[in-house]
Amino acid sequence: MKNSMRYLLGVFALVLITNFASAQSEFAPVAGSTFTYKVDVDDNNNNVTWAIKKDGTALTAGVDFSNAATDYIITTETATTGEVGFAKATITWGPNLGEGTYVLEFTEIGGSCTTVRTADVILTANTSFDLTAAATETSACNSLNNTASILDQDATTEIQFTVDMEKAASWSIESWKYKFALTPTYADASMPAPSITSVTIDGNPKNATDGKYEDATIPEGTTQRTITVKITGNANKTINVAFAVSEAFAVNGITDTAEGGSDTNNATTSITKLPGSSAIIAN
Amino acid sequence: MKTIKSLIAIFFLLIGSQAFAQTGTTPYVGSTHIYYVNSSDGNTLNAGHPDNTYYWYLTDNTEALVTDTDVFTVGQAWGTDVAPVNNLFKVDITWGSAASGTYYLYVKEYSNHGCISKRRIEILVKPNAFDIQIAAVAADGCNTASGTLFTGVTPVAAQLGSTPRDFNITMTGTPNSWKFKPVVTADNTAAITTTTYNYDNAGVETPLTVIDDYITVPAGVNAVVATSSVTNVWNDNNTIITFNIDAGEDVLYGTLEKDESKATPDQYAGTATSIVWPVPTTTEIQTN
Repeated sequence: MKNSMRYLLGVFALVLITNFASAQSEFAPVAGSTFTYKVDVDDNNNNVTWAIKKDGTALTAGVDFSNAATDYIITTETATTGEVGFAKATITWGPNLGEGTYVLEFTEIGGSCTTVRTADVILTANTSFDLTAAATETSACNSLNNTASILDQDATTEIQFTVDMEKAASWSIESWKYKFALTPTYADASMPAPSITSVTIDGNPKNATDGKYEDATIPEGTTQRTITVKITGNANKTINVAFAVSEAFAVNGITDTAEGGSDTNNATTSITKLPGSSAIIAN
Repeated sequence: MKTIKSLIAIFFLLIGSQAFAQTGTTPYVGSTHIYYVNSSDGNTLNAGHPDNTYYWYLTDNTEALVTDTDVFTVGQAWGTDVAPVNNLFKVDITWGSAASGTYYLYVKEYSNHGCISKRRIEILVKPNAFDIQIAAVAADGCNTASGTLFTGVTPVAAQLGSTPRDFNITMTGTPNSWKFKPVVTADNTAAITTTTYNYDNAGVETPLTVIDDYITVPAGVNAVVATSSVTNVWNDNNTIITFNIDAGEDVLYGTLEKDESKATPDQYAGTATSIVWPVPTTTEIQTN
C-alpha cells in the first residue's frame, strides 16, 4: 500500500531554498554543511516527520557533534494556520559522516494514510575547508628581556597566533568564521593564572564571551588571521599560553559548513622567564 | 649652658659621621667594595641559577659605558655582552682616583634560553673621607728625672729613668675596623723604650697590640691613646719624640687613609711631636 501510494503521488517536491555553492549542493553536500530542505504538504494539520537513512538504517539526530553518537542535527518548521502548507528541515550533516549515498525521507500522515517522499543525498567528505592554528613563535623571552628591572616585576608581553584557512579553490564561499579560547598559565601550577591584557586582530580589540573570542565575517580572500595577545604576568616565571580554535565554519548565506580535514586547532607558546636575578647588593 | 653646647656638638658629630660613612652605593675613592646578585651573603650562589652566565658593566649617569681604569678596576674578568662569564654573580670593584659622582653598575644574567634579566644599582662615588689624625696630648715639658736627687758624676740610666708621652690618634670616616702603622722615633741619642696603645671600651681602658707592624682598631672605635716612653739622657739638648702614622687603611673596604691616597700623597697619614726638655747637667756638689 505504501509503495503504491509513493508511486501514485510520486512527484518529488523537495526543494532547496538555500544559496548555492559551486562545489556542493543540497543533494551533494559536504560533511559539516548545513542546508534547508522543504516539502509542500497537503495539510498543515497532518503529522510530518523527517529521517535520514543509510542502507535502510536510520541515522541518529542530536543537538551537537560533541556527542559522538550524533550523525546530524536537525531543526524543523511547519507552516502555521493561514500559511500555505509546507514543512522545512534545516539539516547539518555530521562532519564525520562517511562518504556515500544517504536517503532523506519525509513522511506525512493524514488520517490512516501515509505519504513518503525520499531524496538521495550524496555526501562527500569535507577535505577542503580546514583551519590550522599555530603560534608565531614557540617561545620568546619575556618583554623585560635585557631591560633593567626588579625581581618578580610584572610585565606585559606580546605574543601572536595565526589561523590559516584552506579550502578548494573551486569552492566559492562568502566568508569564514571561527571562535578561539586563550588560556595563559604559569609553568609553576601553584601560581594563579596570569592575565590577558588585550586581544586584537588587525588592530581591532576582541572581547571574550563565555571564555571564547569570535572572529567572523572574514572574506574568502583572506586566508590568514593573526591574533595578537598581550599577557601580563611575573617576568621571572615562565608563562604558557594555549590557543584553541573551535566552531570554525565556511559561510554561504545561511549555510555554515564546519571544517573537515585533520585537526590542528590547538597551538601553544611560552613566554620564557628571565633569570630570577636578585637586586644588586653592595657591601 | 655648657652641657647644651656639648650636646649640640655631639649631635652634629653624629650627623657628620653618618653622612661621611661609606657604603657600596656611596663608596670612597680608593675603596674596594663587592657587588653581587643571587646570594644572601655574597659567597654562596642561591639555588635556581645553575650555570647561568653574567656580564657586568659600568655606565656614567648618562648611561655611557665607562671603561677608564682610573675610574675603576675590577678583580674579575667581566666578559662581554656576547661572551658572558659563567656563575660570575659577584665582582670586586676598586674605585679609582678619577671616580667622581654618579655611576650605574649593571649586571645581565643570561639563562640557558638566552633570556636576560638586567639589574642596576646607582652608585655615588665620594671623595675619600677616611682620615687618621694624631696629636700630642700634653704640652712640651721636662723629663721625669727633673727634681730627682742624682748621685755620681753622671747619673746612671736607672737614676735617669724614662719619660712617657701620650698621643691621641683619632679617626673619622668609617664605621668599620681600621688599622694604622705607627713609627715612633726619638733623637738626641734617646731611645723609645715602649709604646703602648689603649682605647676606651665603655669606660674600660683596653690595650691593643702591634701585629705585623699594624695596630688594628675594632669597628666603632674612633680614638686610640698611644703612650711612648723615651729614655731620659744626660745632656743639655731637647729630645724630640716623633710619632708618625706611616699607613692607615679601612680593613673592610681597603680604603687608604686620605692623605696617603691622594694624587700626590703625603709621606705620612699623620705626624706629631712631643719635646722632652732635659734637666740641667749639674755637676756633683764640689767643695774645697
